[in-house]
Amino acid sequence: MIWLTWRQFRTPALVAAAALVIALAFMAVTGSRLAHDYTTLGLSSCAAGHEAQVGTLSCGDLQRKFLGYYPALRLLGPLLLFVPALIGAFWGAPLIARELEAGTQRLAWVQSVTRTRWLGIKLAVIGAVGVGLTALLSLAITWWSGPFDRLNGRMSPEAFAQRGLVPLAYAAFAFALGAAVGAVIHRTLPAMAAALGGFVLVRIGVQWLRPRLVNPLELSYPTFTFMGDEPPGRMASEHGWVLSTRTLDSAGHVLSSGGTVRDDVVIRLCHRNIADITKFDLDACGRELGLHNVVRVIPPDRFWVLQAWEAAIFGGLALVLVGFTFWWVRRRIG
Amino acid sequence: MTAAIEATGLGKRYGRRRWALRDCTLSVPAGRVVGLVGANGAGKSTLLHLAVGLLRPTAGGIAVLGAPPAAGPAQLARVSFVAQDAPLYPGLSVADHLRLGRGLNPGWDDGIATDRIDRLGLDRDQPAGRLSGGQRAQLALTLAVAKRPELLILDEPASSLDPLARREFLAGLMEAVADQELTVVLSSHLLGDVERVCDHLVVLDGGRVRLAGDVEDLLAAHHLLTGPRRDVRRLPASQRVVQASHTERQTTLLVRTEEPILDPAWTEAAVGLEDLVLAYMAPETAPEIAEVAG
Repeated sequence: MIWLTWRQFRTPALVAAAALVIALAFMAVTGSRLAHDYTTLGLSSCAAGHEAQVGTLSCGDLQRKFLGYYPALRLLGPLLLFVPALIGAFWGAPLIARELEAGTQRLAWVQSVTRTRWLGIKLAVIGAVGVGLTALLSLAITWWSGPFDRLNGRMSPEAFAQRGLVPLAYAAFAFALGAAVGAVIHRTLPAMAAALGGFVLVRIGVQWLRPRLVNPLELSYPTFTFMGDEPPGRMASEHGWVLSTRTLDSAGHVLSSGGTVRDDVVIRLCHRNIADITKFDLDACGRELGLHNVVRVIPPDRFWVLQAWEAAIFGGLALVLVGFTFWWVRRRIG
Repeated sequence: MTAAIEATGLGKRYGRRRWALRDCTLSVPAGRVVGLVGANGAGKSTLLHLAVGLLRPTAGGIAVLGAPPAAGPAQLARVSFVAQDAPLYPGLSVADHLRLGRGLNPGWDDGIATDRIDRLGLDRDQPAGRLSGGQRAQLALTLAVAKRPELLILDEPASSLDPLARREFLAGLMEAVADQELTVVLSSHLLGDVERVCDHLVVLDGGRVRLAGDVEDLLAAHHLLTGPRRDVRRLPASQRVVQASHTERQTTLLVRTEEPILDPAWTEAAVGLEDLVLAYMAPETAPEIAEVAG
């Protein structure tokens, strides 16, 4: 049975292995350059909270320069977001649907192996390969993105979905979902589409749920401080997941929910008659109005709590779907 | 001896309304080559799929070799099934299929399999998708017999084959039957094939059994009578009219009786299996379910 599973799965497995090798080779080449540039640009001291030690550029300039270097980031960034969806559509959905569509279950299910065992081995072998592949890719991407993570943290939705446990849970869920819809729909192409659509919907739904699973931190600091010292706790928002940034005045009126207030708005609020714009003290005006930013952020130390939550949600859904698929194949087909 | 297939009140409904098989009660004896005949849509395939556990009954029950179909690996090993159009994996080679059979069936006999493949002259490396219809059917039959089942069930095994391939297929089947003492149940709407290989007959129509019995007994019990026109109600009580047709002066009857025909006014002719089956399948004259003992 394991041989048959492997024999039927051989071609898609080899295609996936080839793609994996290409991706790993690409990461190996660009990743070591990335790490090297990170060090030579002096960004490691920026990440440690000091000013840049190389040249005259500020840390912000260096970061922008570094991030701008790498179109590879845009290429590799979303890779692991797609992999579970592809596993669900191309490995999960056809698993049962293709047999039913071609009528070959009339061959497979009359051998001396029960349907339950047939399904159990297929799900276990291909599911394990899918999760293993995702894990390998996730480890590689985590290493590769090390410099970016040190600059930006790993809490942003894109980074969060590619680190730690959650990619594995996504892959397990997508695969189980594909198998289940394939068993119900009986046709390969519609099942693939449904598996893809269903996975994307659930992912979006859980991503919406994610910031609601833990209490976000609310940080407040004066708006016009960019020239002065970093306010305490400001760094927490740097590597965290910023949910919203609002600018309020002392009365609590929201002036902006984008994090920046246009200069002319501030000037108008101060009721100054501006004869000479160059002499206008924007900072003083801001202090007078009591302008402050309120940032709602999920701090980076919640990373593993959220990872555990999300892995449990998707892992649980995957188990439910596997149970459903067994029930459906045993009881409802035929 | 347990029956090969024993069905009581068996019914299968698809969706909410369409009954493919309804209230089917029959007993197929073991140790025979049984032909299951009927028009397209008569419920033959449904009955056989129920017997191998690919379908689940909506009503009634079915036992195969005395046990529920596909109840476990042991029961699965006792029954082989060749589905209509001989489903195989198109991308897998002949050798792959043999390996599949060997891996999935503890009773697998490699000798039987390799022997048959050699005699058929099949190229082991050829993908099943590139085999001819006849070769596919033969490969499917090879998988089924090398499993060494007690009961071999075939659903329209030869109906899509050309006459030569069909003859070879049936010859291969009969060889396997002779070698392994198999019980065979095959469905077909090709009465010629059934006549050639089967010694027991079950006629299904509209999901119900119209006629069942050993071919020899059935033929001996039916008589085709031709004589001057007369009222069929005045026949002896032991004679049951299956089919009657009249012209101006003449009456032709298909009669079923266990007793000899004594009336000298009749000219008696032998009944062919085909005429017999067609008489039971013709809807306007279809009599009540008939059984012949034995």
